[in-house]
Amino acid sequence: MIGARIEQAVRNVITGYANSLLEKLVTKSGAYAIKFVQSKWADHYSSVNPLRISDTPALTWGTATYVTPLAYPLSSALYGRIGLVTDFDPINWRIFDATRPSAQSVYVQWARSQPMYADLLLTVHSTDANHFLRNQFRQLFKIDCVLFHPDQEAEEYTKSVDHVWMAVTDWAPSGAIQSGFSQRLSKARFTVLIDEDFQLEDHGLPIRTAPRQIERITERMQRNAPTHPVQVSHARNDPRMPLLISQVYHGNGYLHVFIEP
Amino acid sequence: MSTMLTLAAEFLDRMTNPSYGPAINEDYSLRFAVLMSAENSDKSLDEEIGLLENVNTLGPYVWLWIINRARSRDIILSEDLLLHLTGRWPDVFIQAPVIDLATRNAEWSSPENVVSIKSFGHPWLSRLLQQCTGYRNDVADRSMFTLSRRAELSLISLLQVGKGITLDAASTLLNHSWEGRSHLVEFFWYRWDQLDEETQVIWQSRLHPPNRDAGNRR
Repeated sequence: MIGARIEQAVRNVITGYANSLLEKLVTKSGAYAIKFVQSKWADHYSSVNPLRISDTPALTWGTATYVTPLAYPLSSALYGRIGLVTDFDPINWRIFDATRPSAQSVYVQWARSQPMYADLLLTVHSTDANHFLRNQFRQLFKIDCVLFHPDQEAEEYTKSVDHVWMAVTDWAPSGAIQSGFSQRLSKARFTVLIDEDFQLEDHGLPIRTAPRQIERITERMQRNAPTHPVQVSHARNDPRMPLLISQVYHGNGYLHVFIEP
Repeated sequence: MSTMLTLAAEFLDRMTNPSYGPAINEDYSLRFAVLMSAENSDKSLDEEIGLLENVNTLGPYVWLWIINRARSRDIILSEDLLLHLTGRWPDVFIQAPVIDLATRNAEWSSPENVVSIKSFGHPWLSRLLQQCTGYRNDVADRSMFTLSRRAELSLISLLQVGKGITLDAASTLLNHSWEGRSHLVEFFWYRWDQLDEETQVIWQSRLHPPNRDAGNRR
């Protein structure tokens, strides 16, 4: 129950895949998406499995599967060391490109015309009200994919101004937004291992820009006291390791024990 | 409550309650999804959800998750349960999806004349309208503000769902004569004032609200 002008403005910014930014990204890097998860999921995704649809209220665009086009391969490393890659078929998708200020503006106009808009501003339930509105918006306009700039960054890995993330909708037969496992991003496999670790929160708040916890330190130490990395399978069995480590210790360096390919 | 849901209640809370933070929510959600990928797990859970009766056995975020699951998987929930949910947690972000679920298969044609809330053509919505305008023994504060608050939340929820049937229910509620009416009407016009002009016209023509004069300044 909104004015025709606002409704038309929303419809005008929703495009088919062929005319979308996503098409350009896919042309550049292929129809693949990547999602980083915690290390404990490495085993589950050592074989092909579907990605899970996120329905946590705090997420940016509501209940969806959040991934990154492969054009930005390390952009979401904030969320874990294990990079899951899946292909997808966006040919018939309807795209809402929220990286564009015009699209952001029409969403805000739409939200302001909603009966529950005041609840976003005047109640303690703003997160939940936002979640509801985002889902209703995507369902009402049958949006298959929202493109948006990252609103959380991993230092040096994510460029919030340039990078693009995706929130992909799975539909139930009833037309409602589906939860559970995604059928659209269903062939995910552990494909990338990152040697870095990030904090997701800053004193309880979702972090805006997470510093590199390891690389910033190792860069400096390696400059001052260069040492060669050691493959973990060698390190486990090499009787010279205690001596090597004590030498590195006295040289103010660090020893990188890495998992070999 | 069923055995499976009793066991899962705390797990589901960690999966859905934002106070645990997105990282915990996401982790438990993925663990839950993996557990549910076992053969027939989803079917068993859906069957148990369909047997739920007592709103006090689960927290609001778990209920919200169940409501959304029921919407996407066509699970039928007890009408009494749905009504009790709107009474127990009348907040719009819970009440609106409950109303949406309760009216999902309703075939509806708008009545030609305004009807009373008791004779509203959808029995569940009629009960909701009576509930939100009814006398409550558990409310010590009998001020008009407290009386009309539940009706305000139901009104916004009905409008937010935005189906023909819920808009007709909202119109019926606005035009219902009861002791909290003037405050509800005043509340409606406050919300109307916040809209763009085009949407204001649509609200007025669709809902046929009483004149502003029917509301008293608080």
